[in-house]
Amino acid sequence: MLDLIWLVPALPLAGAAINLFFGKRLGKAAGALAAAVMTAAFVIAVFVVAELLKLPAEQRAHVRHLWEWIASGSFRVGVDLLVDPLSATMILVVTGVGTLIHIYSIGYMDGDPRYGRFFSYLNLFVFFMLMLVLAQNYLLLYLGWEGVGLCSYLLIGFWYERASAANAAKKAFITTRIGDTGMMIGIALIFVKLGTLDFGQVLGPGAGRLSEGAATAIALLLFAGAVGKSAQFPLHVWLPDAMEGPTPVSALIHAATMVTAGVYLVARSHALFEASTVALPIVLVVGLATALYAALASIGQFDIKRALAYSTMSQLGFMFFAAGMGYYAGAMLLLVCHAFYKALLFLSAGSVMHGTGDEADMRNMGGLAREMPATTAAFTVGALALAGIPPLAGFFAKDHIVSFAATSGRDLAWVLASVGAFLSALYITRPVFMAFFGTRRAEGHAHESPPVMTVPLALLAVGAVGAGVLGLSVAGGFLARFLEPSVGTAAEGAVGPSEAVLVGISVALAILAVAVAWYVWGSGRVDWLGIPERHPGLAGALGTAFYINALYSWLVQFPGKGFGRLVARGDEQVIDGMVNDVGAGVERLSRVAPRWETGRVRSYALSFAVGAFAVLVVLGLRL
Amino acid sequence: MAELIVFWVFAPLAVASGIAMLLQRNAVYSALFLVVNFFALAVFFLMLGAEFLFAVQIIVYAGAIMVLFLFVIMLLGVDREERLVEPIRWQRPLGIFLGVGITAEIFAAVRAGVGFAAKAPGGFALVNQGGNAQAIAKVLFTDYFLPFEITSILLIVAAVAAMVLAHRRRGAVSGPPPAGPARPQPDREAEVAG
Amino acid sequence: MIPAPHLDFLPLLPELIVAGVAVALLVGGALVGRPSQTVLLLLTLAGLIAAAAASAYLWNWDGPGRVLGEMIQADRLAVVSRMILLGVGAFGALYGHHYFARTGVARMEFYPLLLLAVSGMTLLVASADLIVVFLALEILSLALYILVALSFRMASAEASMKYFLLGAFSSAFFLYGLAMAYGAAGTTKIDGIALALSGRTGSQPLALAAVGLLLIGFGFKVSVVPFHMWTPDVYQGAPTSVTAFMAAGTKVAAFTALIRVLDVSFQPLTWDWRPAVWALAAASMVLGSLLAIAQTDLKRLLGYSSIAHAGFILTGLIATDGAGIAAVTFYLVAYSVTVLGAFGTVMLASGGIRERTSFDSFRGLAGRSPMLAGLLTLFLLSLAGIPPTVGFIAKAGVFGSAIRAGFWPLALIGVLASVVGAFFYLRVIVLMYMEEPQAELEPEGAALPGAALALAAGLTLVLGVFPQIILPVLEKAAILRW
Repeated sequence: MLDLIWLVPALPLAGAAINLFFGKRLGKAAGALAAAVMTAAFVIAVFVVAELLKLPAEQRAHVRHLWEWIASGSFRVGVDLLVDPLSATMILVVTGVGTLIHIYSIGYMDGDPRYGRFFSYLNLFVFFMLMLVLAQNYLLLYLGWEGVGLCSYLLIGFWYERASAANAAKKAFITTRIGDTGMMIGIALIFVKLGTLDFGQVLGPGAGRLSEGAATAIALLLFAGAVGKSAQFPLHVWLPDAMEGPTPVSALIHAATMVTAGVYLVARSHALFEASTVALPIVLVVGLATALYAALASIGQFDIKRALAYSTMSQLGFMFFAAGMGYYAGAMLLLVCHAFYKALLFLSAGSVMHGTGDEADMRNMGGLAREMPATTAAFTVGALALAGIPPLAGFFAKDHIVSFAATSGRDLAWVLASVGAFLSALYITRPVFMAFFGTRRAEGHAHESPPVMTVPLALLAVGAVGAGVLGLSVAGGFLARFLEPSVGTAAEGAVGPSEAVLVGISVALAILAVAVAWYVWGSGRVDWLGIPERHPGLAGALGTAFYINALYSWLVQFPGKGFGRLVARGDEQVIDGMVNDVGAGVERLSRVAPRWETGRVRSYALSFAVGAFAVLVVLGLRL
Repeated sequence: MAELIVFWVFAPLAVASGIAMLLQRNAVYSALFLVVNFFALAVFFLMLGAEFLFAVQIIVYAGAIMVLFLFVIMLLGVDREERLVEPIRWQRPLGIFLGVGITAEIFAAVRAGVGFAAKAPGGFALVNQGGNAQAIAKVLFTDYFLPFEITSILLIVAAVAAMVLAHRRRGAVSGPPPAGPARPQPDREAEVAG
Repeated sequence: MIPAPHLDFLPLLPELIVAGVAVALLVGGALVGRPSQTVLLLLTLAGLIAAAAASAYLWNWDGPGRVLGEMIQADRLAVVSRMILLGVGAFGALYGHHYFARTGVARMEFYPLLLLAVSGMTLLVASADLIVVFLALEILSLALYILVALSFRMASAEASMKYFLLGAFSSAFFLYGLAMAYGAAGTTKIDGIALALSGRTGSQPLALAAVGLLLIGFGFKVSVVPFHMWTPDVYQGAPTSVTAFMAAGTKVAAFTALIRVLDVSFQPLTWDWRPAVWALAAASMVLGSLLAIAQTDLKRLLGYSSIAHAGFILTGLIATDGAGIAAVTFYLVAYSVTVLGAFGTVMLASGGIRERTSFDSFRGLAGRSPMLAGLLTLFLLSLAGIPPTVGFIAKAGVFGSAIRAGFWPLALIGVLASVVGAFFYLRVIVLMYMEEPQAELEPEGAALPGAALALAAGLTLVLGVFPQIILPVLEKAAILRW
């Protein structure tokens, strides 16, 4: 059974290929086919994991060697799939949540002219995501990593008729590319230092052989990739814009699966991070900073999907925070729970948009509970789960992480994380009151979505309520014990206040946040629609996520302009006033160059002679 | 001693005619300077004991190829003077600098590599024993048989090339719509350079 | 009386067949008058296949390693490179058949010239002597100059002219290098030079000048910065079918010969030529990628991309071991397949004799022809080196070689250059999928080039997922005996 693991990624790939070539002819059947292959993949994944559970804990790592991918000299990389507790958890999340989102999409994308294409991309995404988490070496992981990036790009820009969608797609690709480059270099560095990319060797004996400096460099380069993919500060700018994609895409890729790849990467490579003394603290700081920063930004959003996007960033920040403390099981528990409730939240938001004619601005909603009861219930369950109200899933996941900070003696981190937890509860109950309760603030009739959309919502809600059973205590939960062979166990701290006190504080904060949210946005006593006029500075800062986007465009353009000007001036002296105007932007640099690609044979020959002279000089130096 | 005198007569002649050929505006004069240069080179071959090359140099280069050149120049018009104004000012000094530089580099390499050898290497006389032409024939028909034959393929390509280019111009005039007004310049230059 | 030399023509059989068919087509064409294009195409393909069969037979050649006065190498590197080149030639013939049929000015000389160019290329990869290298280079160059001019567009003649003048310039450097090599080693045999240099009977300064001048000559042919200036002009000006053929063929042939020159002849001077190759590779990767950003014509863009790719291949050449050579040959296969596919799609998508290849003609291509847009996307992704295409494996291979040889900064530059590269390839994909069409161009569907494209696309994917299909073969071919 374990050897059948290859079917799990192969089925979505087959679905993608069929829909790509015959999507038009299949018509409506395209969605059903895509959902069917996903269901099959999920069923197989369940059987595989059941098989894995039958093995004794220390033997729960099965490598399925499919074929030799590259074997050239000492450079050997196989297409090897690794089934161990960590990847098993991930494939269950990816196929499980993925299946529900595929089913939901059948209804959501109904009537789209590129229906088949959409499911083809979606299936292809799942294939690459599964390759990412099942890879047994860094090169195969990188294949999945690039692949999900590409699919994410295609899906964000799926409605490219909107200029904003096409731009968002480009922005996502370019921003994550910065991190990916770091990761690529990190992988190359692993190969340079250890001569292999195999997890078994790199993470086993290999990590111990690395010098402190090398381990730090590798860990931080890999983390750069994780920061880009998981939209952590400072490479987070693409995620809010990525909401231009269809909502199921936001739910699947930009909430439940792809963005968590960074967390998976850190958990998977923890041996490398632990071989360095500074890598994990940096992960911790970046995670915590993003958690707080994105939580604040989420409060300033009026677009329901953008609010959820910042919330995703914040939650991912919590996962990195946990990983940074060495509490990988906690990070993974939050990952699993978050996949359920965030997918639920996104799909409910999509259901709202579906029912209101693509309305995403919460200022124009309100009182939807009457017309869309099922959606309202689903969103509320998701929000309460995220807010950390017991006994929903988010409570266990987040509470463990916050408590772990306290019991491991990280007091400042604990305080900040508690603030973050409070803000999370605040920002997520805010849309509940804004959109679903109160009175309708816009014309038009809203209608409830069809069952093909609400049934997946119900199933996800079950997950959002019940996923907490996977981790009932900080180190002794089911998931923590299951993951132990993969990520080790985090020493339960003995310092700080007792568990009961911590839980009490946590719950109190969550309830307080819900109350505050009700008072501001739900009670009608605060004119929150007028806040932007009354406090333009605050609203502007929160709404634009502290002007980071503006800062980046300034940072990118300013040196570009300056450099262009410099190059142009040099040109003017040499090329006799051929350059007169000074353009703007980074492209300037490459625009200057073609000036001496003038099409003149004489200039070409001259360049040739320069090269010849230089080559002979370089060789002459060897005399 | 006699060799030295001959060398010092013909070496400046070769260099001077080379430079004059480059600087001459009139294509016919240019070609004639090239003939002088070819002759000077032929003399060097003779001095070095390569009689066969001496003869080939005069017959093929100074004879056949130069006549072809002159024919082409005549066909294109003797009066046409090349415009020697350089539109990009710094290009010419840089070109001269690079020309001198590359020459200097190669000179340095030769100087460091073989020094100023005054005599031909010993083996040369041995090879040339039965006469220079015979020696060349021997290697050409044994060791260098293949390159010698491959040259024939090169000549076929050249012949087809000439045919295609000649045919092309007629086609461009009478054939289906060319993309723009036909400018004859490139073809003409091709023939001059070829 | 000159003793008759022993002549073993068998290892030269592929070249004899190709050149023989070329001559037969010329003579036959003259006799028949106006031969049918399809017949010419079939004869050309038959010749290429026969040559491929002959060269496959040579895989297990057990005669002497060098034949015909030690001028021809009968090793497996020659066999493998010949196979690639004959394949490239077949693609070129198929494309040309379509291109010239479409423009209505079918040139009967196209096929013989193409075959002669192929024979020059295959001869180049089998040369065991620098004299033969030079002659082969001239054969292929001369044939290419004319092929480039085989169109009624003025740009075509201009491109041919530029290519010719600069090509003559580079040949002078090559020839000078050849003379220096003879001066240094007393021989022009590829392995003889190595023996002379390692035996210290050679002269170091002359050898350095020789390797430098030869690098310059080769650098021009494979379009390495700063000998690259002609590339975008010629790629744009030439008929697209010819561009496809020359982009792939010249690189394969010249790089294979360069492998022999650097890894055999000047192997004793490895540490001396490495800095020069390092600098050329870095400059090509960086400048090729940066200059490509500003392009607005797809053929020019692919021209700059070919410059960057020359840099990537040079990166692999830094490592002189067998694995390095295998990585380079794999890269050559990958590049050939991808670039043939890319130019083939451009040919079909740009429509008509006027060759509208500016970005405007590709806007919204996905709407007009999803198939062509999809194919071009695949090829561009492969050029960008994104998995699971063959371009990724190729890049991983050459960077891996450079790292193994201790040149990780060069590999780093390569990685960064490919990141820049991804941007401009992506821009084309964005154009095709995410912008509204501006020009009303009908992309054509044609059976023969369509089948060729499907083959290229299949290889791009299959070799990306199962590179082991050919890697062991390439590794066996990468063992150079001398």
